[in-house]
Amino acid sequence: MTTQELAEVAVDPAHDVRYTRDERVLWRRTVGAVHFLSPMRPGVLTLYGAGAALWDLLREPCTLRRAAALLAARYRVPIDTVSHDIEPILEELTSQQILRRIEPA
Amino acid sequence: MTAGHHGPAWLAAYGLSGTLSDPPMGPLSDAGWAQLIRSARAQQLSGHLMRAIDDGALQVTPEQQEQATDVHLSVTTETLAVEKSFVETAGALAAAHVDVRVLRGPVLAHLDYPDPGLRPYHGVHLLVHSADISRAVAVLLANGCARSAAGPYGGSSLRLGKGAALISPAGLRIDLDHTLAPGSLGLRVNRDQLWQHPGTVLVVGGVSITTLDAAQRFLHICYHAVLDQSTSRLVALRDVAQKLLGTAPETAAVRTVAAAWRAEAAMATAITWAWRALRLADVLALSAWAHDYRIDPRDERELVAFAGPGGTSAPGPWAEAMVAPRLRDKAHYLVALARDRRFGVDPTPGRGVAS
Repeated sequence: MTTQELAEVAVDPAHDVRYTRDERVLWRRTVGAVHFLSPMRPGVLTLYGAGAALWDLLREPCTLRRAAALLAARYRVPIDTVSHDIEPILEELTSQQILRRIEPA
Repeated sequence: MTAGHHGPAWLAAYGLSGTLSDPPMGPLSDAGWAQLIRSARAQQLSGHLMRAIDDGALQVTPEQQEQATDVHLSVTTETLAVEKSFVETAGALAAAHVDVRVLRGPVLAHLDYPDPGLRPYHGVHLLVHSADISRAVAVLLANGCARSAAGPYGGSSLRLGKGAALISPAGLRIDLDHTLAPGSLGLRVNRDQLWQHPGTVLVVGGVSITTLDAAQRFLHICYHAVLDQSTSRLVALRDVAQKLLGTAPETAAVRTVAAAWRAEAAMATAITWAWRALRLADVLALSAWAHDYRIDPRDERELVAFAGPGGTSAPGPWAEAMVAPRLRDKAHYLVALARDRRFGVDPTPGRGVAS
């Protein structure tokens, strides 16, 4: 993906729902994976591969579309495919209080 | 007094600039691998092992890779559980307006290593004002903690060691320390000074908690490296090197505090051991100072007396007073014993802090 194409999916905090890490979550990065303690259930939750890459992206608030674009560029797959795949992950991690959903300002 | 560490020094040194230690040629034999993986777990070095494998510095078989991953995941899971206890403990004490400073594991992991996964830790250690220890214990008991059957320092109480020990609702140990070293060493630490110069504000799990200042923190790392004769000695020496080769404190500030606390022997020993064990070639101002420092035999006897598992040997109050190197220290120590009783400390060994 070119810089121009990435710019087209730039984040607009006024209109876009964004996701970011919940600062209360305890986590560790290992090679190719991220491990979390979910506040909502016992045990450790692990994201591998592209899921771990998604976590890396969410250091800063990011929209679904932009996250999909960045991962699509990295893994060389269509944006819509990635978007379809990561949307339920974002929702699940939000419900587990691992991510925080930021409504448009 | 010797470092007496056991385990793969190359692994403890992995990733440090200036180390002359190299990983062995791999893949290792079954026996060699079994020993390495056992040491990596015991010495809290599994993160370095994973990094060495990932970098291609250590060749492994697919089975060995899988085993290393499993061990590191297990260690990581344990550390996250301890971190949860740390966050809950710090949060409860903050809510009760008990002033604390965070010590050891969380600070090292989050501030001194490039990735917190490289520095697993086992326990929660917080510095609390002597006068607040009983109140802090009461707060934590009200939050579901229990008294530790054994005190932090050989089943004894505040007077013999550094503080009080509790067990979290998850069964993990929480140490509330009022100084940074056991016995006469700890009494020479200027406790007021520990609170006058706050360090960095560390944010973990949404909780903000202040560290010691950089010089005090480095001396605490040195005490631990010298006095802790548990199986994790190598990681304690790595901490010393990691700090000096990374986010190093200002040399003059460290030397000033070490002189004020008469902690030069502990600091010189820790640095010398770290440089020797990890085969570090880089010469820094403090490593050169440590190399040239001549340790007084009385100071060495004092360090030996307090060395033990976890750096927590408690030889008893009279013995502690007698190993204090100078007459002034012996008197100071015995006066301090009497003073600490005023803070609700039950002096009977094994009884811990009176509520």
